Amino acid sequence: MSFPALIARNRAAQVGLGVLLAFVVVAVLGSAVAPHDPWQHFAPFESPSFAHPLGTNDVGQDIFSELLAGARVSLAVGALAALLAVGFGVFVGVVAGFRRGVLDNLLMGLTDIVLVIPALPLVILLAAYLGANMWNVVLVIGVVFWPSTARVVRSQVLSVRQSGYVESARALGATDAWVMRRHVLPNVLPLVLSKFVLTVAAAMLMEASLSFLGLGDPMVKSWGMMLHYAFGRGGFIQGLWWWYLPPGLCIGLCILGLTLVGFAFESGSDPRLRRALER
Amino acid sequence: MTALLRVRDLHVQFDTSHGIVRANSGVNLDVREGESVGIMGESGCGKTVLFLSLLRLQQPGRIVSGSITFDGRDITLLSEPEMESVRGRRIALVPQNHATALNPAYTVRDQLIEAIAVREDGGRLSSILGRRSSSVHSGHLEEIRTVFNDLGFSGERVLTRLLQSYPHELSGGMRQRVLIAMALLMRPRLLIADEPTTALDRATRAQSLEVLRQLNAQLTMLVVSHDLDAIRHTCKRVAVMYAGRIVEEGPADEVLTNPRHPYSRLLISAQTRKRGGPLLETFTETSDLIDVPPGCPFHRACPQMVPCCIDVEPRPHQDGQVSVACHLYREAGPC
Amino acid sequence: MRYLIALFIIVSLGFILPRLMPGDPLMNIVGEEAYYASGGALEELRADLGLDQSLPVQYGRYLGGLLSGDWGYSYLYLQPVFESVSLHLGWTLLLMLPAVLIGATLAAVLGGLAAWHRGTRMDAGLSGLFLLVYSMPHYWLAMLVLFVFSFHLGWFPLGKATSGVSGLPYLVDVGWHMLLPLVVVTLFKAAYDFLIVRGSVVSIYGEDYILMAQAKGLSSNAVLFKHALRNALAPLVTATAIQFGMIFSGTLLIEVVFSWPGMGTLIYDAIGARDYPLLQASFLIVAICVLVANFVADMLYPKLDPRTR
Repeated sequence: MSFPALIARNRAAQVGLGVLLAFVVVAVLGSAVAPHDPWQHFAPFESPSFAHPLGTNDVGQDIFSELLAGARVSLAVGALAALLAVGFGVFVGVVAGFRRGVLDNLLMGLTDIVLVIPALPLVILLAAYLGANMWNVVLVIGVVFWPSTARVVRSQVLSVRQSGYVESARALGATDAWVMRRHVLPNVLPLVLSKFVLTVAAAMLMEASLSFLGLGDPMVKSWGMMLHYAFGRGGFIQGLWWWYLPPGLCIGLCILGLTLVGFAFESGSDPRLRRALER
Repeated sequence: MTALLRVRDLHVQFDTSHGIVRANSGVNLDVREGESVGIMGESGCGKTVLFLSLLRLQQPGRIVSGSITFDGRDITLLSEPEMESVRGRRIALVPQNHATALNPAYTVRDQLIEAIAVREDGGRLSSILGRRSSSVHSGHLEEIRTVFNDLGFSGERVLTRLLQSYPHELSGGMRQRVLIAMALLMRPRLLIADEPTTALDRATRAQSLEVLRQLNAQLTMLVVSHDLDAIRHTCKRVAVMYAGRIVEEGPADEVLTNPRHPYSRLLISAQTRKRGGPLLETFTETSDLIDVPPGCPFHRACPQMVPCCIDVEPRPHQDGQVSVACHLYREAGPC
Repeated sequence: MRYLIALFIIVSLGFILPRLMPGDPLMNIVGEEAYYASGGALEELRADLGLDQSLPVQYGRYLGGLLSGDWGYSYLYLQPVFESVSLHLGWTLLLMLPAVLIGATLAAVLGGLAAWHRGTRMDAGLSGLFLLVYSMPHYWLAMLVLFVFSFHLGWFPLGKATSGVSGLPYLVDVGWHMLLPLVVVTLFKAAYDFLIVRGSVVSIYGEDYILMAQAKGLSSNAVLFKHALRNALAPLVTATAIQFGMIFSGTLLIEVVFSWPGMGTLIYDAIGARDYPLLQASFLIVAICVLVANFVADMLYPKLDPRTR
């Protein structure tokens, strides 16, 4: 089933997509729609007013503008990290599924181990060693999220490979590359797309967590960094809810949107799941 | 003598995306106390929906009209809690699929004790949870032992091992015995056996049928099956179903050896014929039950069709002790 | 068996990472503060820790140290890492374990009910609610809860585990402080499990033994709770084991918001001070807990699903 059709049938996914698009628009337009430059300093700890709809933070920067700027960073980091993770995952999954034998066992063993290791503590450790830099954050998140894609892709590759039409193609002399292009990739693509969407959600959450804990890039404004300062610079104790509630809400809404869309894609690629998810 | 079970003009429908499926269209059936009645037909004829309706477990199907009078009460009008007391304790089911009808997470003993608990205290959550193994009366175990003995299964050690077993550890024949025992422990007035010979090897099948035949001495029975042997061995009366209707009904030895309705003839001869001979090509697809044309549902495949079969639906006519829903048996002659 | 291999790899990671990562391995091992504080005694420190010796020897020392409780020294807390970590771990487990159990139970009951009454408003409401909880960052949920119930309504304290009383009132005091974080972690866990249980029960609904239970005259609730949910337990336990790492991570962040003196606060402070020994030990401990949880789940599974014995 094609993706537009999947969304059209699923009310929840439509809502999710709508929310998501709204944020993407904000991310793209960025500073063009913000009332102020998020780096500009005004009077600190201002309450919400007409000039500053969400007040100012501890160094006097306009929170609303920060929020809008944060959309771009948070979404970009999430998308890049997911791209890295899913890309690597597809590579590993395809190689393992195709080559079989020792290489397969080795790769799957590695995958299983990485899956058992708790993600956040490892990411914290790696980010701490590598230093506070957005690119490091992207890298480090990509490193922990590839296994689930690899597993799923591998099993799909295996089932396609063992299917009748592929075997007959091979009997007729088709090369690995040909089988890969004509049969494996088209079957794997829907699955990969749904995994990608769900991984972006997970990556956004992970970046926010890292930044919140203090391992984010101070030169960059993401929603997670906003939460970090709001919490660490007294916003919480002083009850400045307009500072710490909006960034978290934005993260949550994006993740909700991504999850709804991701689930819709997932049900499209697995007929059994589709029936189970039907309300 | 009034019938224990009286089904009158039962109509059961399923709403599907392709249209309304009429699974039962005007079914009439009487089962008297002590009788064993067989419902015979191929897949799709509506026999499963019929017996499920007796338990009001035909969902998502709907009983749209008709009545089912059991022991004087019309069960189509009962509330759900009232119906719960009818299921099991008044009408018990021995299901077809013995491999999956027992909960894989509980032992045989747990599931049998649960049947007794329901019989004594009802089917509410509180009553079945109360019966933990520690408070099982030795009287209950004695009862279980007796039931298994009656089913031709004795041997103390083997029985103990059986009770401790999980369903997946048992053979098909053993599982079926457990299901029969479970139904008997509830002391029902009516026992429904659904396809009692499926997924059993020949020897076990024969044993199973014998058990059912003997059970008839203590219980009123309804046997639902497509298998001629099963019906012949266990039933005194037979009703043949086709396309949601009963087309022929009467004493088993009459109907099975001398079928009147053209469909019954084909069905019965298909199961008794020697090698060669015509193939039976009348199985009902569910789609045939959606846009049902007027007239006899069988007319398109009937070798003895006459003109009025096309637009007039036949009513049951008596031919001796057998009732046949076919225009050929009209007293005044066909059409 | 693969748990032992995973354990080995995790332990080895603790050895490899500080030496692999950019920067002086000595700094990576003792932490930034210690590094800069020791001034000219760096070479002495290096020799002390055996960093001038060959790698296999270092590895041996490392393993020996781990087993004997020498996990390094923390400059932040000015005590051996092992002690800081064990203290904080206790508080984390106190919060997390009840939350996991209560959350799973809550999800089982609500997920079962939602699946049983599929398509009704109850189902839509529950599914929508849990989907929302699932999507929000859980430490944000913590902030919201704290804001409403502590800051605004003043019903609960603003953080920490106790307010300094002792004796029996201490237990009550801890309990009072624990309630809000417990609720948040529980909701978090329940949201993950709800979808899983609901999915399981939806597919169990079509099984023959469910029809059989109904045919015996069991009430709808009896069939759901005694027969359907019983068979949804095994997948739930497996899911709990798989998510254990995520639940742990989530709890850490929630702890930070509540200033709960568990591993979360430990890590937060250690990051601020770049106290690498603490961070490394935290990683090791959390990873080991996750492995243990997975192992326990594996042991439990055959008890829950007799077919796998």
